[in-house]
Amino acid sequence: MAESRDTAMLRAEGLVKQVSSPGGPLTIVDQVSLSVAPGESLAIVGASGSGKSTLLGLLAGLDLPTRGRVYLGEDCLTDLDEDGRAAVRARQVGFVFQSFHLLPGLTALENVMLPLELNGHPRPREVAQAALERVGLAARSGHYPRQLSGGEQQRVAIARAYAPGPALLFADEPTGNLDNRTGEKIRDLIFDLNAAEGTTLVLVTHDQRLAARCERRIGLDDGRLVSADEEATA
Amino acid sequence: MSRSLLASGSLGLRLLRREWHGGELAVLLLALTLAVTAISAVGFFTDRVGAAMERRAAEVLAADVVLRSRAPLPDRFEARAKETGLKTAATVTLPTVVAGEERTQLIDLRAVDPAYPLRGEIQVADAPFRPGRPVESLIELGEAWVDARVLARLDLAVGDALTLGDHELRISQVLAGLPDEGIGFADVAPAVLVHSDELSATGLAREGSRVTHRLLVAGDRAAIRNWRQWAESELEEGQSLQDVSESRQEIGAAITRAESFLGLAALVSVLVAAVAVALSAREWARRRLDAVAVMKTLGAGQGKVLGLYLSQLLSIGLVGGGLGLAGGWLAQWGLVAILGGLLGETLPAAEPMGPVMTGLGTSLVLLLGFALPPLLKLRRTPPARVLRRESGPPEVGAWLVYGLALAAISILILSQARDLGLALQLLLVGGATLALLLAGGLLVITLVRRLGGRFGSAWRQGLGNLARYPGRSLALITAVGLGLMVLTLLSTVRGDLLDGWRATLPEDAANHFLINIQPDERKGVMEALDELGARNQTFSPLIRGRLVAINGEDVDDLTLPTERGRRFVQRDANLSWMDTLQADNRVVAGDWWDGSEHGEALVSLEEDIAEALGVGLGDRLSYRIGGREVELEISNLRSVRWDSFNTNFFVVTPPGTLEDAPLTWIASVYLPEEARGRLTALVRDYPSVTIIDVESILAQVRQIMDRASLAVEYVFAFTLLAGLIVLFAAVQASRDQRRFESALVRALGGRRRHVYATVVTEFGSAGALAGLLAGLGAALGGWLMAERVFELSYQPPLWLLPAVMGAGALLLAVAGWVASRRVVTRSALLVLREE
Ligand SMILES: Nc1ncnc2c1ncn2[C@@H]1O[C@H](COP(=O)(O)OP(=O)(O)O)[C@@H](O)[C@H]1O
Ligand SMILES: [Mg+2]
Repeated sequence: MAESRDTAMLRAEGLVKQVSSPGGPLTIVDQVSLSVAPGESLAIVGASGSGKSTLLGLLAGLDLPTRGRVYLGEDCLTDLDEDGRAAVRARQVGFVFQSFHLLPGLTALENVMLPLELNGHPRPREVAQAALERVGLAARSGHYPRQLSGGEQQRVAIARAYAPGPALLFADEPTGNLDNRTGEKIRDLIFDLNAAEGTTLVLVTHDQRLAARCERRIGLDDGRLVSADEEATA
Repeated sequence: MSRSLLASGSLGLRLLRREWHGGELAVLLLALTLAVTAISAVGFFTDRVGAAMERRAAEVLAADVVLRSRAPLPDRFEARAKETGLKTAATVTLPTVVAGEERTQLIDLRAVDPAYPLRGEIQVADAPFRPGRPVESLIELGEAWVDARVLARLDLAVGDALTLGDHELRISQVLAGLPDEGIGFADVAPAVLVHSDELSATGLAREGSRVTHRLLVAGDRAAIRNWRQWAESELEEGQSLQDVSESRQEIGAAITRAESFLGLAALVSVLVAAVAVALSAREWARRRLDAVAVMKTLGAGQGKVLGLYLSQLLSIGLVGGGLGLAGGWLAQWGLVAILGGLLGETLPAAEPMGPVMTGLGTSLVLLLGFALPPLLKLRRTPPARVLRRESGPPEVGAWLVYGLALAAISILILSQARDLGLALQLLLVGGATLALLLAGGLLVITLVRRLGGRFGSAWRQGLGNLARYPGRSLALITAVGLGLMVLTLLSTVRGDLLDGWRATLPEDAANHFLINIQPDERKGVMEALDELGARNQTFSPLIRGRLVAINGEDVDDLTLPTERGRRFVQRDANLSWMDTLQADNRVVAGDWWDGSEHGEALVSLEEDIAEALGVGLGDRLSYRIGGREVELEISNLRSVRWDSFNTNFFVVTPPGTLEDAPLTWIASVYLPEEARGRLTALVRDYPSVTIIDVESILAQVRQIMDRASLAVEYVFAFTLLAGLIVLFAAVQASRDQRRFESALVRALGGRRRHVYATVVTEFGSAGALAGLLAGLGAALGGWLMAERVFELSYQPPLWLLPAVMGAGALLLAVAGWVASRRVVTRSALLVLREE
C-alpha cells in the first residue's frame, strides 16, 4: 500500500494534537500518519473519546494539528490559513455528521443548495433538487429539518454532501444518532453513492457494520493508530 | 473579490428571508426603527421650528432679506426677485421733524409700498398706549399712521391733520408697533407711516437729506438663498444686504431650551435603543454560531461569512432607518400639534434632507457600534465546532467592543446635542454608570460565588445562576441598568426640572422696560411708576460705548473668530455696572468683585460674547465712552438666563468705575393690566423715555414652557418603548439556555414553583442591583442637567435610589416570570429532546 506522493488523495504525516487542560497538556492525537488513495474508502474505528473526531477534523482542515502535516490532493492543508483551507474544502470536500447539522431555518432543498450557493454554483436549485431525488426525498424538499425524522435529516445531509460532487467525503459517525434499521438505510445510501460517484470516503465510527463495508480499516486508541483488529478486540 | 462579496451579499439577503423566524432580528429591527423614529421626529420638527424661528426673526427686518442704499435702487434687484417668485416691497425712510403747537418732535418718516411689511405685522391701537392689534387695512394716499409717542407729545389725535414738509395728511391710525422699528435698547425716533407715492409731495426728500432706500424681499427659503447669493455679487458701492439677525433673545432662549430638551429626550431614546441593539445583536450572533461553523465546513471563508451577515445587518439597518423615518415623519405631526401653534402662523415645511440623513446615519451608527462586534466575533467561529460543540469563537478584544460602542455613542451625542460641554458630561455620566454597573455586577457575582452556600435552595440556585453565567448576567445588569438610568434621568428631568424652569418666571415678572431715562428724571419716573402700582422695579445704569481695542490692539486690525463677534464690535455696546450678581446670572469663570474692588477698571463679560470675541479672563477691553477711552480687564465671565425677563447686560463693571461717563437709566418693571392705559401721562412728562411692552413675549415664553413639558412627555413615550424593547431583548437573550435548564430541573423532579422562584430570584436580584446603580447614575446626571441646561440648583430626591432599585427588581422579576412561563409550561421531555 505504498502510494506515491502524487496518487494519494489524502495524506497525513506525524499528526499530533495537544490541548491544554487543567491537569497539563493533553495529547488527543498522537503521531498519526496515514494515506488514502483516490476512490478508496477508509474507516477509522475506535472507542468513544479515542480522538476520532479530532483526527477527522485535522484531516479535513477544520482544525490545525500541533505538529505534522496534512495533504489533500495537491494542497498542503497545514500550510494554509483558515480561509485557504475553506477554499480547498469548497472545491473537493463533502461532510456528513453524527448530528446532521442542517440549518434549522432552511428547508431541505435550501439546505442542500447552501454549499452550492456559497461557492457560486450557477444553478444551485436544479442540482440540489436532483441530489434530493437521489436520496429519495424529492417530495420533502419544502420541509424544514424539524419536520423530518432523524433518518430523513441524515439523508438530506448526505444529499448536501454529495450535491457539489466532492472528490472526498468525510463522515463522522453518520449512523451514530440513528436506530439500527435507519442506520442500515443510511449505510446503503452512503456506499451506493460512493460507488456511483467514485468518491474517496473517510469515515470515523464505532459502528462495526459500517466499518466493515469500507475497503480499509484502521483503529485509534487513545489518539494512537493501532491495527483495526487490535482495536476491535480491545 | 468584490464579485464574491456581492454574491455573498445576495446570499445573505436570501438567508435573511429564510432565517427571519428567530425573533432576535425582529427585536433588532424594532429597536432601530424606534431610535430613528424618535430622532427624526424631533429632527423634522426642530427643522421646522428653526425655519419658523428664522421667519420670526425676519420680522425684525419686516422681510427675509433687505437691500439698503443711500441712493435709489436700480430695478434689476426687484425684477430678479419677482422672477423667482419672491415678494418685494420698497420703502424710503428719512428722519425729519414735525412741529406741533407747542413742541416739535423728531420722527422717522417711512414711505412704504402697501405690501409692507413682508414679515410681521403693523400693530395699531384705538388710542395711544392701549393694547395693540394687527392692522387690517392697507395704507392709502392722504393717510398718516402715527406712533403713539408722537401723538402724546404733540397732543394730536386720530382725525387731526399732520403737516409734513409742504404737505398735509390726515392721521388715520395710532401706530403701536412696527415689525422693524428696532429692538434692544436702541433709541429710535418714533415712526410716521405714509404711502410711498406721497413722499414727493412732501418735498422732504431733497438733495442732502438723509434718505435710506430699502428693498424688502421675502419668500421661499431656497429662493431667498439664491436671490441673496445673486444680489451679493451685484452689489455696488453704498448698497448693502441685511439678513435676519438674532431673534428676540427671550423667546429664542426659551425655544432653544425646549429644543435641547426634545433633542435630549430623543437622544435618550436612541441610547436606550442602542442597548437593545447590542443585546439583540449579541443574541443574533450567538444563534448563528452553528450555522457559521457548518458554512465554513462547506467551504465558506471568513470574508464570505462577514459579507453574508454584514449584508443582512445593513439591509436591516436600511429597512429600520426607512421605517423609522416614515414613523418620524408621522410622529412630528404630534409635536407640531403640541408646539407648532406657539410660533403663530403655520410652520414652514421641513427640508427633509437633514433629518433623513440623520435618521439613516443613526441607524447605521447604531448597527456598526453595537452589532458589528458580535458579527466580527461570529466570523471567527472555528469550523471544528461542527465536531465539538463547546468550541466557540475567540472573544473579540474588549477594547474593540467598548471602543466601537463608545465611538458610536459619541458620534450620536455629538451630532445631536447642541451643547458640546453638556454632551461630554452626559457621556461621562453614562460611562460612569456603565463602570458602576460592571464593577457592581462583578462584585456581586464574586460575592455570590463565595457565599453561595448560605441561602435557601431556590435562592441559592437563582443567585447561583447569576454567578454561573457571568457574561449573561453582566449583559443583563448593564443593559437594564443603563436603560433604567436614562429613563430615571428623563423622568426626573421632566418633572422637577421643568417645574423649576417655570418657577423662574413668577407672576410679576417684569413686563415693561423703560429706556432712555435721564439721570435727573430717575426719581420722578420711579415715583410715577409707584403711583401706577408698578411692582418689581429695577433700575440699571446704561452707558453706551464702542469696543475699540482688545489688549491694546485696534479691533479693526484684529480678525475676530466669529461673525457674531465682528457684528458686536461694529455697534455701540450697552455697558452697565452692578454691585451684586443678579440671580439669573452665574459666574462661570473668575470671581465676582467684592466691595474692595469697586471703582477698579474691571469688567464682567457674558460667556457667549467672550467666546465670540475670542477673549478670556485677564484680557483687556478698551471702550470709547463719550469721547474718552477706558481700558477694562476681564475679571470674570457670566452665563445669563436670557429668558428671565430681567434687564441683562453683556458688559458689566463694578460700581464706581464708570460713574463719570454719560449715562441713562433703564428700568424693568411689572405693570398691572389696569395701569397700562395711564402710561400716557408718564410719556408726556418724560418725552425722551421709551416704553417697551414685553407682555406678549412674556406670555409666549410662558406658553413655550408649558407646551415644552407636554412635548417632552410625547418624546418620552418613545424612550419608554425603547426601554420595553431592552427588557424584552434582555430576557430573550437567555431563553434557550434557561429553557434547557428548567426542563432539566423538572425532569429531575423539581417543581414548577421552584423553577419560578429560581428565575424570579435571579432576575429580581439582577434588577435590584441594576436599579441601585442606575439610580446613582441618574442622580448624578440630573444634577448635571440642572446645572448645565436649566441653570437651576437641583437636589435629587431621597426616594430616588430605593425607588429605582425597587422598580428594577420588580420589572425584571416580572419579565423573568413571564418569560419562563412559556418555558415551564412546555413539556420537559420535548425541550430536552430538541436540545
Ligand atoms: N479542544 C479540546 N479541548 C479539550 N479537550 C478536547 C478538545 N478536543 C477534544 N478533546 C477531548 O479529547 C478526547 C477525544 O475527543 P474526540 O476526538 O471527540 O473523540 P471521539 O470522537 O473518538 O469520541 C475527548 O476526551 C475530548 O473531550
Ligand atoms: Mg466523535
